[in-house]
Amino acid sequence: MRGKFLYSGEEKLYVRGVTYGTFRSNGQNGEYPDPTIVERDFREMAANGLNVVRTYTAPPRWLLDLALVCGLRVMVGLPWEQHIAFLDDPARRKQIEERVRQGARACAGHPAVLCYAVGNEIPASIVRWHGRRRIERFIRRIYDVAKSEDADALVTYVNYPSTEYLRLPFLDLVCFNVFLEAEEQLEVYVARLQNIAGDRPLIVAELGLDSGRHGEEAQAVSLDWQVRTAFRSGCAGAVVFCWTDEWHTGGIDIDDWQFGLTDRERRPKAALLAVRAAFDEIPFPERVDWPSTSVIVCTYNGSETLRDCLEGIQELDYPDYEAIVVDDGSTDATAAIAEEYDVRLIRTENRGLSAARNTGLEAATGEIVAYIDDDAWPDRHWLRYLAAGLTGTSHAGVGGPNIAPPTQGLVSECVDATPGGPIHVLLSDREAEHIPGCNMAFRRAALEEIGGFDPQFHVAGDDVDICWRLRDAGWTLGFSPGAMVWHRRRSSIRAFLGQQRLYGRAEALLERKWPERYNMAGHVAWAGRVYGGALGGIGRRPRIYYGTWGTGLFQSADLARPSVVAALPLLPEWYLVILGLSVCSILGIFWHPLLVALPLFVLAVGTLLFHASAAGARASLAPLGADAPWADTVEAIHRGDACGCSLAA
Amino acid sequence: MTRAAVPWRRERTIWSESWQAPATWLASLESSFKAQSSDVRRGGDYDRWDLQVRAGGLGAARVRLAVEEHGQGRQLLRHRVWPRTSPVAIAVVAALGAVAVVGGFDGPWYVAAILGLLAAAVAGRTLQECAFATDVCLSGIEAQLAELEGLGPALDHRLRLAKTAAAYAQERGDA
Repeated sequence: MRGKFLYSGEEKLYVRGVTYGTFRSNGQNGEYPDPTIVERDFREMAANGLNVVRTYTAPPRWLLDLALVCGLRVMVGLPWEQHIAFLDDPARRKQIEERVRQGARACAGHPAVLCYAVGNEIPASIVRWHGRRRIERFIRRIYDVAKSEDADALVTYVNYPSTEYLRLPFLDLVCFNVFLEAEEQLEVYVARLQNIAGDRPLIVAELGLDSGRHGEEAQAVSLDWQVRTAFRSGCAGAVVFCWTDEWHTGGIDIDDWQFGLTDRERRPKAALLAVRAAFDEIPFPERVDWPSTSVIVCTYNGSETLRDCLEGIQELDYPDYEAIVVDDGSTDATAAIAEEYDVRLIRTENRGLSAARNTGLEAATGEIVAYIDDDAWPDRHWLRYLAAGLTGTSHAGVGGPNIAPPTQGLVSECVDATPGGPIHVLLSDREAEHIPGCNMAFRRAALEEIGGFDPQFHVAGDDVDICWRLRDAGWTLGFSPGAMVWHRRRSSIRAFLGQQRLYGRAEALLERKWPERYNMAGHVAWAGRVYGGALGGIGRRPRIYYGTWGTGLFQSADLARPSVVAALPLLPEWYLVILGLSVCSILGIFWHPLLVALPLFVLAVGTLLFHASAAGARASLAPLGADAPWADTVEAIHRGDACGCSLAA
Repeated sequence: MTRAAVPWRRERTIWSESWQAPATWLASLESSFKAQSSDVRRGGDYDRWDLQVRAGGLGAARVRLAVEEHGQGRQLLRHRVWPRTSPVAIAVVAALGAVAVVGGFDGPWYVAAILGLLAAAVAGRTLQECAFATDVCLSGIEAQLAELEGLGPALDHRLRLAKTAAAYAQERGDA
């Protein structure tokens, strides 16, 4: 797993999946058909471009072997009694844990295992009965059980819209079953799920349509756009429900639902061809007329990181792009490094970041100009997602997530979890108020229309300014979750503080230029929601929308804005308060009435420490060492095999 | 509304062999409550309770329903009933009680006694209202059960619950 996507070895693995079962239990093979039938099914799946089969029960070892032979990976479902109020009975809880343990143990270490799903759609009624937190804690518990049996495996829980509000940040990947019958609805909803998934891969673990009710033709048409929409929206995979109409659940054969890609006799339906065609063209069809794009890297003394960036750009999967490096008066080996690559190098005297961005813009020939920082490198399909985000909408600009590589060390990971990093601000699940400069693309015409970047911003703030100016000019900005770049965080406290000092200066420039966007205390007032960082968990308890009597089909958590009181310790002024209280406390030695400040001082410092601890607890700091589940990934990223980049410091 | 039940958290289960949507079960329960009380409310979109019965301004009881689907149309309805005291009642009792205690130390005893009695009266009334409301909820659930089983309301309460428990235990064995 790397950021928003899965990898198999060095290959990006888009999950092209189909569900299998459940089937009527027979004595010999458990809840699976005869091995000859399974083998025939698996070979047919593979022949039709599928690479993952999702089961709902722990498969026997022979089934995993067959999957491996056929080139399939298995998303192993570990079933338990989730349809009942399982938390009311401690003995049952233990039984469930044991069942999960046995299921994971039976498959542990098998190379065909893609991941374990430790649950699938706990009914909304049951979740509401027990309460969100108890269910979250229990899923965490069985996640740990599965991990304890197969530490290297990915573990997930398959959620669905009726319990969307569950917060499960510990899962390795985010899976949702989504059945929507309109393309626009699916696109909007997947965008929402992407914001829930954050920096983790999102897989639509079930999608489909009943050919019995809608007809086989409608099923094929629907599956075509469902699969394409999922991948276009940045999903790491999609799993079609299901392989065959043969379906046995709840103790009976289901005869009146026909979601299968094949019928009960395994005769292919039109949907199988449609799915095959759609999967053939993921994440985007080649036949689309992709707009020409210029990738611009502005760098000043970036020799330490530029090589990674340029190697990533060289590996991009995009039919029509150029790379431009603007060397803003570097005094190190930056220019020499750039000359090693197939890029257009422009050298100028040192004039600052905005001027360099404008120089790149003037030199660009593409319809789209994409900016990436010299300490970042792109995912292979970065430009595809950005371009799709622009061509399919009227946005002037589109940004994507910038994710810290997992191997930078503890300090970098702490910096990543600290407020003040480059993060996006979204007005809705798809529309942005701000996209950070390390990963942003614009229509060149739109940038030229507003006169490019404001050259007064030498180091930072240029991205905020350009976003506000574009929006003031009537344009909109978008966010594409699949347009991912790896972005290094500062690797020392000193470097981080230096960066924050520069950000502070940029903020002061912005405040002078945009006074109406700052409040009386001098803090920027975003209209949208700031994503990620330590602010993510601070605020009022989310309100859960259940619908009347808990019957809402889409039950979500209100993304509560951070409360002003809760956010106070994060403000710079809080440190002034602490300073003032400490001075008063010291003076209290000489004039005792001032000692009243001492408990307040302790309270102020304690609040700060509490916030830091809470943010630290929420941050997913990667375990260090070879035992880490993604140790191979780490090694691969270090080697730079996947995206042609190296992190050698 | 004259009967009362001890106002603490209770759970009741009903086994059904004929499937109904949870909203239908709740609508039926709501009707049953309304037959006994004039102040029955539905929970809102953001509430984790489904129905509330108030027996006055100080105390109420709330009900949450979970429906376990056991396949082939079989359902186990789980009802949780719990008392709910008004925040005003809590504040009044706390304030009167606190003043009474302070008065007991520092003022005339009869003032403290009067305030203490007032606090106890409000607390008692709150408990009483919770007890009334809890009984309405439990009776409503039992009425639903009786209706489901085609039995008269005179059937012994414990017997009916024992029957549902037995049905549930049997189902658990099946699961």
